[in-house]
Amino acid sequence: MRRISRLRRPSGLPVPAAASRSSIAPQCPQATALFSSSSQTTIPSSSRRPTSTTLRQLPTLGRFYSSEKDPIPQSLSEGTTSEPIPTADEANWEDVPADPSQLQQIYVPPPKYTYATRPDEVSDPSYTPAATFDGLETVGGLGNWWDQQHWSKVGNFMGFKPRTKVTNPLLLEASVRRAVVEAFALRQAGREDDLTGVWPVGGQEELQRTMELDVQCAEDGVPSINGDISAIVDGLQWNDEVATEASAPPSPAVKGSVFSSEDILKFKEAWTGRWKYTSLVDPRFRFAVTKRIFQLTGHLVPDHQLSGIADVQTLLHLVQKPPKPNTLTEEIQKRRQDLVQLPNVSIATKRVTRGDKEKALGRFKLIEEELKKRDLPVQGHGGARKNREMQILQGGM
Amino acid sequence: MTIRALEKVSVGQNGVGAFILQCKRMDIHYCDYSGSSRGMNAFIKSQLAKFASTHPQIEFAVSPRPRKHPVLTGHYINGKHKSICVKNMDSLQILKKAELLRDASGEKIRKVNKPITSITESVRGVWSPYHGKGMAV
Repeated sequence: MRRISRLRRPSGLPVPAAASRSSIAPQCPQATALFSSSSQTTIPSSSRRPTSTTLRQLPTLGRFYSSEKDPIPQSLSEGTTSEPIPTADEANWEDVPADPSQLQQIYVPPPKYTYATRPDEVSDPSYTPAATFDGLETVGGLGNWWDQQHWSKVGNFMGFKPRTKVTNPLLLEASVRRAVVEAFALRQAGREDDLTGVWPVGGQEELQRTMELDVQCAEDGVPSINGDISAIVDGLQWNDEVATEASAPPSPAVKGSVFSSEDILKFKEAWTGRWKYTSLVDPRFRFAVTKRIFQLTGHLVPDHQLSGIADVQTLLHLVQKPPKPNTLTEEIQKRRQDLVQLPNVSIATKRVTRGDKEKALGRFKLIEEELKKRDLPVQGHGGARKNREMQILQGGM
Repeated sequence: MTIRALEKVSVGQNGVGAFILQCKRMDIHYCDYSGSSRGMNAFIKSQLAKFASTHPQIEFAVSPRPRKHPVLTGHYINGKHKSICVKNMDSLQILKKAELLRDASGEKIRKVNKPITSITESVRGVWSPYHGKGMAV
């Protein structure tokens, strides 16, 4: 979603905007120089051997992508993965040099192409061109350049949406409650503009703070929070220092103590059901809540459903709804166990082919033997072209 | 003592002593994505469990056939089979087709143009010109 991605302040590198913008232009010709021989070629005139490969430095960093997982909130990672998710702590924001000249050192571009002198342009009279490949030295080429990582982890891409979706209903409920509390706290503090801004993901502490608060809801759907909201409001202030702290590597003690379903159940006992009646009619407030839920859990509420969300209960119902099964067999396995358990019904998950039918009969072993005897492929057609027999019959090869 | 063959008392007929359903197996093919399979998918989800449990003598094989229309195929104990394409039908229409396949004998459909058919031999026998006393003209 384009609209959401504009919010993504943590993505890319926290370099000055001017520096990152200016990096796009110089990078393009270099990229073309890597793969085309026509541009930026310097032919040494004095020797027939290519000069030693030199490493060029890019003026500034561009935008790098990484396959590394980006964070889901540390406090919510219990239901999804057992390993601590490589979060922004691996991105190591503290190491980001503010000076663009330092950024030049992070990225090592591939070696520059060099070209040998043409045989007819060699000045050395004793030179005779080689007639065979044997004994020649191999020069140039990228080698295994792509296999090595030539950039720092600082440049790793961090998306607004977490890579893993939270599916545990209890964790989802805690996240929704957290989003509502945070959005309302901002509104109560008079920071209306920050409702549509980007907030730090936070960690376990932030989640615990919101879970401990008592949220009540009036008849008209306006919530009221009993407790100190100043800490929550302060935690929602985005700046680079906060981001660095939030993404700093958690201490081992914190790593081991993420919230489990039981912990949330304990908190949930203290919650009254009234908080679910909080009104979400105000589109600004609703956007703040749904945006936060997307950031924390990876659940994006579709646009066509947004208008139907009047209160938190509806939103919670939407978010907690289990995903649709992809295939009919999946659905039957999940929901229609009575059909699966009937002795006279067999359900195949994939298409039943001719080979499957032969195997069911026990005839495939014989077919396999005969095929092997004739040195024919057992699986597939062995790369035979279509209508080959017809071609041969008609005198073709 | 001379050997005498057992005399046939009656002609065996399905349903006189025991009834054996002629349909032994039913293949149910559907597609997960095509709109023409919507009714078939609903049939599998909602009707098939009841239909299969009331007919334990029929084997039901459900399997996907991607990018194809849904098909019901009945296999019969005489070795023949009968297929019905059930594209765009709703689940109740498909249930009717499944009942049709269940009730079919597997025989080829023939035109029935005699009011009465019988498997009992005629008492009079078939007329022959070489037997009898002949007729004086």
